[in-house]
Amino acid sequence: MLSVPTMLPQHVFSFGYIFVYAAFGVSGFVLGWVAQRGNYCFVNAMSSIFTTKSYDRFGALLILFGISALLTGLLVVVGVVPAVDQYYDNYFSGWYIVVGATIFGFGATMAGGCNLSMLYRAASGYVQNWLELVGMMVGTYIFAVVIWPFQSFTMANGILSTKLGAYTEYLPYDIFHSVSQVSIGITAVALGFPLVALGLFLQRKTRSKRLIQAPVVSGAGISRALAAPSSTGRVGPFPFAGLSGARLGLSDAKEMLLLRRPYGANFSTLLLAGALLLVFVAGAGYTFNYLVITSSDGGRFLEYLLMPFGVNLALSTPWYNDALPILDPSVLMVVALIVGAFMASFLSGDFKIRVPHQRKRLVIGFSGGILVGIGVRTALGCNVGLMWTSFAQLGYDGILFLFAMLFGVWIAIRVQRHLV
Amino acid sequence: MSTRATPQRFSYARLIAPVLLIVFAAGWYHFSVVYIPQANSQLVANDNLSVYVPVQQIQGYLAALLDATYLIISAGVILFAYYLVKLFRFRSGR
Repeated sequence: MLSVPTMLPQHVFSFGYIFVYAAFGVSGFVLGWVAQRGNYCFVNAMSSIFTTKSYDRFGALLILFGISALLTGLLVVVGVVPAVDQYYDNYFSGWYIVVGATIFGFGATMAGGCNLSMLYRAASGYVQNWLELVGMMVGTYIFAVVIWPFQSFTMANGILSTKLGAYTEYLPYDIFHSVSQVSIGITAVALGFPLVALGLFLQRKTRSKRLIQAPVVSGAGISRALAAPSSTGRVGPFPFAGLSGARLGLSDAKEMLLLRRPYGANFSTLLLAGALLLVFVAGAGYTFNYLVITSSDGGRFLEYLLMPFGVNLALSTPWYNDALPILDPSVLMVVALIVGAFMASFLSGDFKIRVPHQRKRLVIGFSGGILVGIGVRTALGCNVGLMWTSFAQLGYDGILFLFAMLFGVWIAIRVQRHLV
Repeated sequence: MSTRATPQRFSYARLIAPVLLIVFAAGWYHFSVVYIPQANSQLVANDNLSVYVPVQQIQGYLAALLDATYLIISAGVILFAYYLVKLFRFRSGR
């Protein structure tokens, strides 16, 4: 008979909620700053596979997932973070993740940004992303009223859905029927290393291809390639050059510190993984949404916007009244993310109110935002809060989300080709 | 700070943006103090505890937010002062 793993979260630090919220705030600021400086967008990373056949950014994403899985797994294995804090909040899994992630991938591609890039671009003055955010609030409300009653019924009754979540969706438990440190370590390595290796391989392939395609008359192409920063999505001298911040030259570091040069994809990846680890440790035992969350707050901001008018959605509106706590650390994380992105764009001189020349882009941004809202809520999370987080929690929902989102992005690219 | 070190004309957005940042930070703190605890209390009054948040958590949030608000306002004031000096220098032709 299988022993049932504990479901009692344990603290790593006992400094109270002020510390947890402060850690989430710092993490959010770092996320916003780094994502803005690195122009980090999950949707762009995926769409570039289908448009320019570039795997550079997508490779960085895989590295992010792999490193997150490896490092959180390592923290659990060495006993810094109890295993229960890693699996406690693993979500249910079912049809809704596939459907929601497909809708999300489609909507985000049409709107021009995933949940992370929507926030940092909105903070950098992109009006289209402001409308995407508003559309996301509307989409969340539509989901809450129309879809959630049906979806929660299927979840409660196990119709194309798991019914428990938590350790039952924890890969070490699913594979080894155990949450021992050995099983967690093996799973983290088995999940993390192939992702990192695949990411590096895809980046190498893309960069080698570009190196070959570049004009080589008089060696100009080669020298241009060698001169180009490897991490900007162009081309670099060595496929691994962008991986380590340690390889950056002093002048590169200075340029980045002075905000004259954007961060590379892989350098950004390392910083983002660090931000995730901070909340993984600080939030353990306090909050069940202890990893990076951005999509819930699309719905929560609508709730907050209505409060001054005497409307409290948490009293009677489905989903708001049974699934969305009125406050959680992700609120401070998202607010700090917006501030961090604004500061980065303002100080670097990037900030500018940008209204698209084609007014239809505004309509597409808003409509795409509605789909984003519906998609992320149906999937129970976004590319950040569900996909990235799930890899770090050693769950399998992230894998489902990844493929479904890729499918949604692919459909959107095809639709866009017909529209243009 | 910026790559555009010698602009041809001064952009007033550089002065307005820090002010907006300060207003946003102060407004968000004010909203959080006034409306979130109130909405949370309404949940208790209506016997809806599924999305209720313990008071200690709200206090932790407000304490952390207060510190963050001070930081953001300080940064906003420094940026505003910096660009104000730049504006004066620009106007005096230096």
